[in-house]
Amino acid sequence: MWDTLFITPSINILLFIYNLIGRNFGLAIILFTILIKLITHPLTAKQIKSSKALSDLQNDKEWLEIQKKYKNDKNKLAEEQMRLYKQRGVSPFASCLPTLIQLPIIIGLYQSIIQTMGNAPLQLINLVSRISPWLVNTFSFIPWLKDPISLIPLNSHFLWMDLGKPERLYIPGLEFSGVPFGIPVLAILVVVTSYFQSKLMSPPTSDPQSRQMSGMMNIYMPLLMGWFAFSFASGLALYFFVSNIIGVIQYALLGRINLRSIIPTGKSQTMVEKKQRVVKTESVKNNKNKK
Amino acid sequence: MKNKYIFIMVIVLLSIILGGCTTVNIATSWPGLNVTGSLAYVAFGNYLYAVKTTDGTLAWQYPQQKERDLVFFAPPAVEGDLLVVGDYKKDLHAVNSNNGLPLWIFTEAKDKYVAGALIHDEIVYAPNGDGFLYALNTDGKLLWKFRAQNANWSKPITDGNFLYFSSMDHHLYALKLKYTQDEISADEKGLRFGIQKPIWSLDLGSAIFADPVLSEDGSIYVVTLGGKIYSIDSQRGMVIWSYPKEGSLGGFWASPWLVADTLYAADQGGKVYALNAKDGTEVWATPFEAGSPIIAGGLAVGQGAAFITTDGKYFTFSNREDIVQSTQITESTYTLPKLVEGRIILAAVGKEFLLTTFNTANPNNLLWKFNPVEN
Repeated sequence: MWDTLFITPSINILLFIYNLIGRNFGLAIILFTILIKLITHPLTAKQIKSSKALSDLQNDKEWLEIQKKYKNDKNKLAEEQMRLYKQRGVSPFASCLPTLIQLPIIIGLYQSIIQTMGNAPLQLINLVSRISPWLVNTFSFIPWLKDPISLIPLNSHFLWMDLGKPERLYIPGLEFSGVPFGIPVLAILVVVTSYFQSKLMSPPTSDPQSRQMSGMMNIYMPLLMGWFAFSFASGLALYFFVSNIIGVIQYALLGRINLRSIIPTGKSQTMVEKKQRVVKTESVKNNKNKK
Repeated sequence: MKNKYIFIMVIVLLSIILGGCTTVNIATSWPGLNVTGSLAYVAFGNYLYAVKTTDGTLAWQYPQQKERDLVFFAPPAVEGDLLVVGDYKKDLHAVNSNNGLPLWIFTEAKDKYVAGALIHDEIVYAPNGDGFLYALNTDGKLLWKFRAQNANWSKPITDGNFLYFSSMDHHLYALKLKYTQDEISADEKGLRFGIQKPIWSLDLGSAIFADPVLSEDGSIYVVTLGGKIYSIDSQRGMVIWSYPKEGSLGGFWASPWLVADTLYAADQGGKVYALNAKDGTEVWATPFEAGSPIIAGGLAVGQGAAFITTDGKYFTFSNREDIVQSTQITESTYTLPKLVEGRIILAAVGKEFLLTTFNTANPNNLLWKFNPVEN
């Protein structure tokens, strides 16, 4: 089921692109990533929109007021939060749903890239058994398309990389105790782009716990992705890198990039704190007036 | 505090999902098998095992202690006391075939050894995944190397005059067995090891994984992943016949096998074809459908033939109407069995055993099973 729905179609599309652009697997991964990002763009846009609405609500004066007012009554706080969600037409889960829908597509994509780059006998047998000629038959009017079986084994070289192996850039003369030292360029790029992507996309929040969690995610997630890029086939690292870049572009096109959050103590937090101070001042004023 | 737990859960879950997607299982291939005299040599995982064919006990293993990065799948080549086996990293190991003591290691290749080497007339011909075919003397010294355009995953063959080998680059090559110093050109480091031109080469349209087969009359039989069977004139490097004339069959991973004048070939779809070896005409009007993929292939057994499917079913036959399906031998096998003195020696990838044997007359009765003990 999983194979039929996600992996086999992904492998065939990847091979089709590879065939179409003249047997360059690195370019095929880049184009395939762009294609997947385009297909899932409506979901991403919806997720960004919902996330922004939720973030705006959480920084809203009324929201902050109820947080303060019912901080010792969790049930009432939850009740009031739900009322506010309904009133403003915001669903707390609306930003998660598109991510959940995208998750199998992304995992299928990982798996298809890994399986397509297989360079051992069992992996190749598995790959060949998944190749269906219908894509080539459908596009038979394209003169340079070849029988997909004749593409095997794939050309896995791209720039300085063998996409089936972890990437290292060896510079002549760069040695460590006589052993050539390879720089994991792609892993470094993945860490940097993952960090910037998560920082740029983190909406400002007034909740200290959410802020703390977001801060931890911003540090550990790029490191985790970097570790995968360092350890596994560079084709996958290339996918991570391209995916991060496209993700940032998507957010930029939707005008949702939060440039201020790159600096940890930047204005975005200060603005939230300012809002909190305003709310605090106003509630003090109201209390005085009541008296 | 609650958020911290959620965070840790997210990280762990992501690690499992991504790690699960990317981790390469150690079993990316199947056991490599060779049998000479009273020992069966099987390369699988971290060891090369020598097993006594009489009772299935371990004679020796190489290396003595497990080395995590050392993984063997290529069939060992044996000639006298010399046993040569390539590993999945990039090294070719030579050990004494009687006791497993190491002799030398050739470290110049850059990729894995999938195919077995050929040892002929004191020269070791070792095809590697880096595209080179390396020719070494029996002390492990490089004599010359020839570069194909892609990985070499099939074992070379010789008729005593020339060396023939097929490559994943779609070609079948013919080389000399020996080259003089004048015929060897300098490589990229200025060392004189490179062979520039083969005697002949033939583009067969798709990758070739299965070992080619040589007949006594000088025909080379080659099957391709593109689903074609070829008969090639070894002297002129020309196609004598190909099957089918139009279109293609399922992809071939298993070598074809000859029984008298009949050539059998089994494809990944589980179909077995019988052709007249001389002219490629059909001996069977329709292929036999085994019902499961065939990767290991088959062999001549007495006057008839046998083959094994990946789900471990052993078939024997003397003609089309006489195919007999035996009981299940094992869960899964991809390795071509060997026939030694009326007994089949078979390597498997299931949990039950790594190696077993049975009489050809009675495949139901496994005489012994060998399962290595993990160190």
